[in-house]
Amino acid sequence: MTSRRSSGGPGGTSAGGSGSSLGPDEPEGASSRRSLRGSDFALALSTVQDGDVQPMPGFVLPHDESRASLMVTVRATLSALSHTEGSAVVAQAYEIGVRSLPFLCLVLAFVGGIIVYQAGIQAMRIVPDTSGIGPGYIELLVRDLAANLTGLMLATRVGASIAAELGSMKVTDQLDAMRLCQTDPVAHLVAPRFLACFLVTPIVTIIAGACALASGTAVGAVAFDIRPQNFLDPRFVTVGAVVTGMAKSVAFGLAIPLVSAHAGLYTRIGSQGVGDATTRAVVGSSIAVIVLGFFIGAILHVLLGGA
Amino acid sequence: MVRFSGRLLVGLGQGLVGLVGAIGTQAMVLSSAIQATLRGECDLSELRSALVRLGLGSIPVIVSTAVFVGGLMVVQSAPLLSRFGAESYLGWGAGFGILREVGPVLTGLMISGRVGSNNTAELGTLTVTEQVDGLRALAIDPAGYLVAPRVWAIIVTTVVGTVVSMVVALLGAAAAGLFLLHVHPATFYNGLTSGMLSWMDALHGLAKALAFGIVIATSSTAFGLGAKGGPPGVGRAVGAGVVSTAVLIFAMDALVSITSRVE
Repeated sequence: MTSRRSSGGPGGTSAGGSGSSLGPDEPEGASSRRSLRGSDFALALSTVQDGDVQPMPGFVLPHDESRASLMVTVRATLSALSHTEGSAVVAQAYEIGVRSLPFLCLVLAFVGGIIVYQAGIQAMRIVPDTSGIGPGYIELLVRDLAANLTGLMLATRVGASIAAELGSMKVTDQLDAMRLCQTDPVAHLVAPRFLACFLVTPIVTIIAGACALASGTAVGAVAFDIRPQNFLDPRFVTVGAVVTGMAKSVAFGLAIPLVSAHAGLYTRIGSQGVGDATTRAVVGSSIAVIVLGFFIGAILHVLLGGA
Repeated sequence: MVRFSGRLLVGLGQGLVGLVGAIGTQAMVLSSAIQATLRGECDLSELRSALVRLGLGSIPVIVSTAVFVGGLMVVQSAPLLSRFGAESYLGWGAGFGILREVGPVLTGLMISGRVGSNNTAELGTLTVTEQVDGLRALAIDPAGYLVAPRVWAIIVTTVVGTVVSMVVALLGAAAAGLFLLHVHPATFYNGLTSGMLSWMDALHGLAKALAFGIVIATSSTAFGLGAKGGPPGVGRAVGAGVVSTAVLIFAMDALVSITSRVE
């Protein structure tokens, strides 16, 4: 099996000798379930034509998860990017971006209101001065809050839907059917979602952040009598804050689809499988968002020196 | 334009109906769990296994999230504090955020992601394979055997998990303060206990955790029992359940924050 994988690495030409080691290499016990799969046909095809056909990335993904790591999926996705169709990316961008927007805006508006409210109570406890709340809130929003919360919510919404879609295709053998039809599941399913999520995340972050700003301003005006023109004062927002926020949202946009697609591609066969894959996608991409958010924040804080 | 606003109105109406329906279903789940428990039908061995599987199993996720959440709080407040030279307030700022807001909310989201969706997936699988009807055919009440143990286990997990995550997040914040801002842990501890924070703040967080636990338990159970259409239906139910649980968590967060105003 190992020679099988190394012979058809993403983008690599398949060596002529690998075909001979295919049959005897097959493990005895596992052969009952995985008799012939699409990837076997594809490999056979690519060895027959010997270098004419480059194996497409989706064909060389290992079938069982013990041999698959996130890095294999990442490499396959990256090498499949050149095969991606633009129309699929647009459709996914609509699905991921536009259809998530109501949910994102609702959550961010709630959180924005709550934070201004809590900050107002605290400010009243110490000094009855509310002039710092608005600028401080805007800085927090630009630097961390918009990117982190949008990332978390996208991890929930988009991660769950990517894993559920790919997972239910996997358990109904549709991924193998695609491989039989010479269609690469990674190029047709994973890469468009990856590209769309990467392109759309910064945009929806900005829109949802604007919602949080609006609700924060409204709460400040209603609960603490802060006039909107005093509240909307970006004097604390620095270039570093903008860079930190955008870097985070770009990183989240890269990480969420990859983690979720990996969970979906390796859904276990069986009725529990799809739910399990969805759980793993949501938890994995949420943890990825929190860990990436911490490290990007810490590294940029050290690099920019708090500028 | 008329057609667009018409579609918008229809969408809003459908959303509202869906919301009311979801709240009703969740109230029914909660009341059937309470009734089954009061009748003494809550299956104790199921409860124990649910506590072990859902509760103990999510400790690693909760702890690893909490460490980074604590660090994140410090990183977030770092520019503000170093601008004013107010490092001694770090403990207060981080503690305030962790105890009242970020601790309960992020723990709730992670538990919803792991425990809630796991619960939806299991119940959904049982539903689409008609095993719930099988239980009824055997004269076993699903409310006492399936619903009540899971609901109580998830509520307990959320509250206990939030306490754990508060402690771990404060330790993580102290560590991040030491390494990033060079704030001595003793200074951090002083900022935490200097009187601007009280036990009321921790209680506020726990009240939120209780509310989130109820929401996660009832909504994941309701979506699981409502799954239809084979394995893909389970996946859809899990996705829809996670999303609506997240919305409900933030709605409860706003509700608890505003109703329990402390002066």
